[in-house]
Amino acid sequence: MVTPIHVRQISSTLCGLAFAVGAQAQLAANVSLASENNFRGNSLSDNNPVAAFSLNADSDSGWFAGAVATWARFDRYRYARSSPQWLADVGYARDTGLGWSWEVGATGSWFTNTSSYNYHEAFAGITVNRWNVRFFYSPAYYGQRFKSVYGELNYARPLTDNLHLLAHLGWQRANLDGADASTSTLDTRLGLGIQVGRVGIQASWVATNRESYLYPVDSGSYHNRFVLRLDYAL
Amino acid sequence: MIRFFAWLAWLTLAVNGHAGAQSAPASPATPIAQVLVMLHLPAPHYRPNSGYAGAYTDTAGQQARRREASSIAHQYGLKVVNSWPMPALGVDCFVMQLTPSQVLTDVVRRISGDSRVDWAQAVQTFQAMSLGDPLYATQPAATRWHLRQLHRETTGRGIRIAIVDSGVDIHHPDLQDQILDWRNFVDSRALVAEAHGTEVAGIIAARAGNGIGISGVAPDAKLLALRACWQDPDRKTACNSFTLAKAMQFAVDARVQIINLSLAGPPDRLLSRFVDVALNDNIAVVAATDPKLPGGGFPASHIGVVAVNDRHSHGAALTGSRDSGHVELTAPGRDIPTTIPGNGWNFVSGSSFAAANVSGLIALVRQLAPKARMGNMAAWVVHPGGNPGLGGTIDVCATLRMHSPASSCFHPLDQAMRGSW
Repeated sequence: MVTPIHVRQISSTLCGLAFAVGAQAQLAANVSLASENNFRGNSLSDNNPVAAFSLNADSDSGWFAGAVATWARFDRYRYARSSPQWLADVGYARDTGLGWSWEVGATGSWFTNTSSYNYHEAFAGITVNRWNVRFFYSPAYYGQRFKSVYGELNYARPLTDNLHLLAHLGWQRANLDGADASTSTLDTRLGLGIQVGRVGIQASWVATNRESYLYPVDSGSYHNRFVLRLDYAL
Repeated sequence: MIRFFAWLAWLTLAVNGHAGAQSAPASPATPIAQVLVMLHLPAPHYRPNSGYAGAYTDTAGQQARRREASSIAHQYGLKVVNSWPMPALGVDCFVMQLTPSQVLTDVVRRISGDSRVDWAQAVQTFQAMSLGDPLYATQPAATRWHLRQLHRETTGRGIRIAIVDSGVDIHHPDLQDQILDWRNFVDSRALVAEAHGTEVAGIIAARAGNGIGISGVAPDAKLLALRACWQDPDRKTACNSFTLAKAMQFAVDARVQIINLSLAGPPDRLLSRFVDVALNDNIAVVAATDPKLPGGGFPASHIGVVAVNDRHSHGAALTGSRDSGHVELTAPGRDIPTTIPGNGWNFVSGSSFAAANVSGLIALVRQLAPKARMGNMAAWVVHPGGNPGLGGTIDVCATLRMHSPASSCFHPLDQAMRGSW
């Protein structure tokens, strides 16, 4: 169930974004079905299939905003085993006209049934040709006393008009506030994407180097696996 | 895992066949006027819950722009016939067809004023600069540059050249293993062997020392054969703004070092922007001149483009200086032996082939000096006493030495060449 505070957060975000992107925004809606809710190499759906609905707006001036509704399932020790997950983002991206572009923004995640995992991140990145590098910072990752930095390197290459090669390398480091303890994890993804008209299909091999205690999921959720995803643009 | 990717590959093949049929232009040579409408393509950025945030995979964004394009077409009484994302320019390009009763300039003007549209222009036609007269059996132009001696120190190894032209016969024995990749931006056919593209390819990079045919100016350079032009039944070669732009997007994306454009036409905003993107990435852009067009025609007239004429292109009024950024050169373009479709060879003439010679020459320079910027007269040494208005005749050895002081190319060759054509 969506509580009033979540409705308020999401709607205020979307209203702010709609104002920011202005009247000339391109509005894009998308539904997706994936074999799991995979986030940075971890299954947030306990390896179960999950659907999502996304709404995005891009303005000619470079402002962008988006919102996502999906589902998460946590490990057996949590107060709530599962919850709707709401994501929102806002930012600004600009093409320099010199063969590269940059972006800055912020994103937030809210869980309806357990607000203790809610968190926010700021991000910045650049894209050069087929390469993209991006850094995220969260002062309290997944609502915990962890400061988290996540860096990712993404690569996309068209193989044919419709087929694309996708590659991703991510590195996350988190520090417990006021302590020396820290953890670093790596996650990778290699996949193929097909796009035909409104339909997109991505098949990826996802791997991580170790279990991360940053996520409220079962230990089995970080195993290497295939992730299949089907997108349909509305 | 292997089985899964095999299934995906099969699905892709099936899908490509379907999509190819859809994406083919209605008819490149159609006389029905068309307009190119550019919608803003947002810079790539992060999206939550996205498998990967990149321009290639944003299905929802593309659908949003398709929806907008349909709305615009409906409002102005047009029909969307094709589209192509062009991330190098930050636009999604839609081809819209007019009805016979509509006036092209009027439609372009009205759509350009629409706030949803970045900009719009007419689809223009370009012509390959071939004389189509393969009858002069004189000394091969390549020998004037003493290629055998030049090839002792540079053969264009490691250089990738995009040939934006009609289809190349990739199975020609003199082009075997020279074609790194090929694409057809005109229609859905996979391979099309046409005269002009095959002739240009042979001049630039035909294999050397294989006992047959000719040697390209840069025999170790590799080619990207990008079909953006087509051969009419009367054997004339034509292209248009849209097909050329798609090929330019591919060439820029493939990070080639040289783009050969053996064609000319009217000034074109879309193509101008692609040329600027290429020049900004230090891709050398070589174009043929058309003496009948002002400034030699576009893209030859574009600042930073290496414009090339052959000595017989009378009437060209190109003017260039060492500081203007406008490069005009004269190169062998008459009676050039080269490859033709069907495993043959023939002699060809025209500024198209002079441009191809210069593309090969730039590949030789760039093997020795990879970062050499060739889009300025200061990058070239030309023989003194050339015919004013026809550009400079290249002093090949001196040009090589200027970019690579260690070059062993020596003076007697230059002396022999002076005033020889």
